[in-house]
Amino acid sequence: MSGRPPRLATWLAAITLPADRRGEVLGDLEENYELRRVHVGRWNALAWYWRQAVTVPVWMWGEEILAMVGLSWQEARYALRTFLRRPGFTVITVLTLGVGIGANTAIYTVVDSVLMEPLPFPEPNRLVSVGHSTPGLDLPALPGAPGLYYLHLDHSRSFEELALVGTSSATLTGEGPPERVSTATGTPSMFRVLGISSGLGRTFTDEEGLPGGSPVAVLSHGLWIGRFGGDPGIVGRSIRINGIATEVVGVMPEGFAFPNRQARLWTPLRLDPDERSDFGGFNYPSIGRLRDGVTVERARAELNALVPRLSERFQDMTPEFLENIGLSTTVGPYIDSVVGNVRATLWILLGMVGLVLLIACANVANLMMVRAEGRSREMAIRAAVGASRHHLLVRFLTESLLLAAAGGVLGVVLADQGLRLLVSLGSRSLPRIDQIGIDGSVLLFTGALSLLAALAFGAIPLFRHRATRVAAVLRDGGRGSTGHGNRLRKVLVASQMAFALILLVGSGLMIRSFRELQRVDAGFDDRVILTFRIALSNTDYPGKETTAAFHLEFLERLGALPGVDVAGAVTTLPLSGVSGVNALTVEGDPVDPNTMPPLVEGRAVTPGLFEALGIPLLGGRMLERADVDTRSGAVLVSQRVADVVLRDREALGRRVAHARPENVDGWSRIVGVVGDVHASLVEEPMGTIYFPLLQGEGVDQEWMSRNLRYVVKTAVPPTSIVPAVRRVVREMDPTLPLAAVRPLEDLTRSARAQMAFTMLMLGIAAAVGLLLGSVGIYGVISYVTAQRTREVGLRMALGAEAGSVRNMVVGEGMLIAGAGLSVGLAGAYLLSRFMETMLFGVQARDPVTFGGVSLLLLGVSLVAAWLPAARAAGTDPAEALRWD
Amino acid sequence: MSRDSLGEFEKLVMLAILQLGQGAYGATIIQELESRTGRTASAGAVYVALRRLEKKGMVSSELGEPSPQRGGRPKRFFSVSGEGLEALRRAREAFDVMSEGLSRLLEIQR
Repeated sequence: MSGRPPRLATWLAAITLPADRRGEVLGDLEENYELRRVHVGRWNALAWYWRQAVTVPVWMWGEEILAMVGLSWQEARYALRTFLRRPGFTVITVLTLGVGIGANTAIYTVVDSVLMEPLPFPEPNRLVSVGHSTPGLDLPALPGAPGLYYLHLDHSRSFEELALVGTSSATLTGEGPPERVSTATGTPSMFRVLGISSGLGRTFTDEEGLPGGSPVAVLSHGLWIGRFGGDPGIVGRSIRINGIATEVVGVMPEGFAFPNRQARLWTPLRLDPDERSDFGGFNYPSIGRLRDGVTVERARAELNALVPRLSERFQDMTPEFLENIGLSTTVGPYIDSVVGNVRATLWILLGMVGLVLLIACANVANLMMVRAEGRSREMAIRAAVGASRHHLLVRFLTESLLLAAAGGVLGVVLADQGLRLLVSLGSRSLPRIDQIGIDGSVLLFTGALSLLAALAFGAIPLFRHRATRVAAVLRDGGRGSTGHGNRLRKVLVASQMAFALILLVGSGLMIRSFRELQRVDAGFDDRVILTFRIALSNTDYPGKETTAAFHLEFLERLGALPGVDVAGAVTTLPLSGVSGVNALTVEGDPVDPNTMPPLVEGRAVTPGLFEALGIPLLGGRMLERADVDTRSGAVLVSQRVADVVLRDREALGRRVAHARPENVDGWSRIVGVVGDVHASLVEEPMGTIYFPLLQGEGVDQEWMSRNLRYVVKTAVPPTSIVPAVRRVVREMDPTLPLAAVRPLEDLTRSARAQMAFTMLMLGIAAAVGLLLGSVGIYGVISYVTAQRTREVGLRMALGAEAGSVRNMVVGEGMLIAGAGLSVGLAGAYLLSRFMETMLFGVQARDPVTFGGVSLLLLGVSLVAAWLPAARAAGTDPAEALRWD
Repeated sequence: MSRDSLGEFEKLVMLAILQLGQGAYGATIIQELESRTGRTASAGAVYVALRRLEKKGMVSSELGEPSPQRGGRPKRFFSVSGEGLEALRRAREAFDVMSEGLSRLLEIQR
């Protein structure tokens, strides 16, 4: 046995001691522990150490808090002694408050770090994101497009700088193993928009953003350290990105993260200002810095006024066409696009844990009242011997404050632990998660909350006490009278029930939504499937024949590996968003220039993909190797295309093109119809056209065969074949990295992560609320019933049946519960609409949830009232009449 | 209790610091109190007293270098200030004045 003190005690002391004295106190305790171990033995030393580990933080915090609220140590010592005399009451109160305050502290910490903390850029409130919406088309919100970017640059006066920034990924080769990294490509203005200059070297010049500019890149601090060993001579060095020699012109400072945490290097987006008549695609999120004093609303109004001017620049955008699609520009604070839809979730969570705290306070108030009643004789004597009302007030308040302070300290400890759990659970669904931590403002919040809680539960017994008549109490034998007190108590319990109901409705709605979401058939089977990505560079694999040949050869070797059932590849995995959207033109269909033709997604696939994902063939035939070899021009369409675009016409054999009518350069023939696959769980699947890696003239596109996502169905655990896959890749090309290797199940789990997270958090809040609420109703009914023991005894002595006594008590409990539930139902009915955006497949006023939750609470109340009722019914009249 | 008055325990803590001289830090102060009074001292009470004495300006402290023998944790060394010494003298004086002529009654039974 070593001489070190017990680790658990040290840890406990370490997390609870004030930070500025932690080290020295722990050192002192450890030193004394060793001394004691030698002189008085290990067990005595252990006992001493544990006692100090618990009491020293209490002493030190007590001193701080007392000094803060200006109360004397003497008062506090008196209160402490009172608490120690009733350890049960103290422990329950502190635990109840600790849980309530802890939950609020944890969620507030997240709100503070994720929503309130400004973005790490100068004057972040001037940063806005510019997007577009087209209500006339069945499309989600659109990012920026070069055509609009130039329109805004030329005519808008609201912005100091505007930029387009897209994300991508690239392969780094040379020095060290090949590595796939996330990248961002933006107009050189992006760094000026953000107001951040490079830590080393420079950012891009405007010339580098023009076509034909020399290849340059700016590295992230992490990439510079991680891959290039922090080489101070990195600026000016040439590195290989996607096989192309690229000059490093700068390194960004540590901590710079834009447009996401993953981006490791930045390259210039090359746009040709002379080609302003080329609209381009809606491919790049747009970010701008407003001029000083310009509001978001003014910028939005200005940009929307510019929309009609599109017709002057782009011939196919006739005023009628713009009218039809309803194109409008949205401008919003940039932080909103960083935070995304988590905002509503977090505020609702904070509201919910606020309810938990209210329930906790109501419980504590009840306990305090019971105690105050028990002590009314003591108080009356004090008043009789001359204690001033003021003095008694201070005494009550000191007790409340001490309890709340202890609850607050426990709350911070619980919140700290809870946050760890929350961060690990929320890693997929919370933005800015690396910034979450308890800081000064959070502690201030907890302090204020504890103070408020102390006032909330401390004031109620005070209020009660005011009504106490000294003489009456003394005469009464301090038994406490109590119509008034009981009414207050019942109101408290009824409000607990109301709050608990709101909590349960909230979490019930989330549970229902989650179940609906799980019921969504994403259109494919995600079991025992490994996915990874292989991206081929332009230099090593020029031309689509080379890339297609590589992928097909690789697929063949992959299929031959032991444990592999079937393998295929596709340009975009299911549930990974929409990509490659374009119009679908059907041969022979009339063309109306003022309407947008139906939009569908285009994906390139290899044979084997549909089998691997279990996507069914609904008609015709699958694509085969021969379709690539002979460039047969065969394509597949999804069910939705067949139903919506082609309506009742026979799809098979029809010729289509994935382009607007005026841009059609060649036709493909539909040879089969396959099942729909979701690009996002919460949205309807979009129509999709599937191309083989190579097709006929005019249809082929470079992107179709360069970067593919592989989908490998295995007979063994998916990740167990990774080494074999890596070997095959190395055999074919040692410079090629295998990226984004993960089981497909990860992807579907991610897609449900946010809702699962919200559901879990609300579920925990509701469970705590329900527990505290039912303890509350049980406690109050027991107490009220016990007070009536004498009355019950009298009734029974006079011949009342045990059953009728029981019914009377249960009835009283249910009356309180019923009142609480009605108020709660009304509250939940009004509040649930705030949750609408978070729900899926269920109405905010879902009758099943409302009904089920009400029944649950009624059931719990029934049990809580039944126990004291049964006890009352078993009363022996003789005993009861002697009850004092 | 007024700001400048000294509690009984605070006086004992100051005396312990004076007894220890250069080597007065938390652990030794606790040991000194225990060995001289023969009673277990609550470490928390000692820290609170020290902190309060510091606030009153009667005691000052300095953080020492971390030492390897106590898990690398630093020691905070305490010393009694001139003001503290003065306060102790006054307390002693008051005690002496008040107990004049009572030496027999107050004699310690060893």
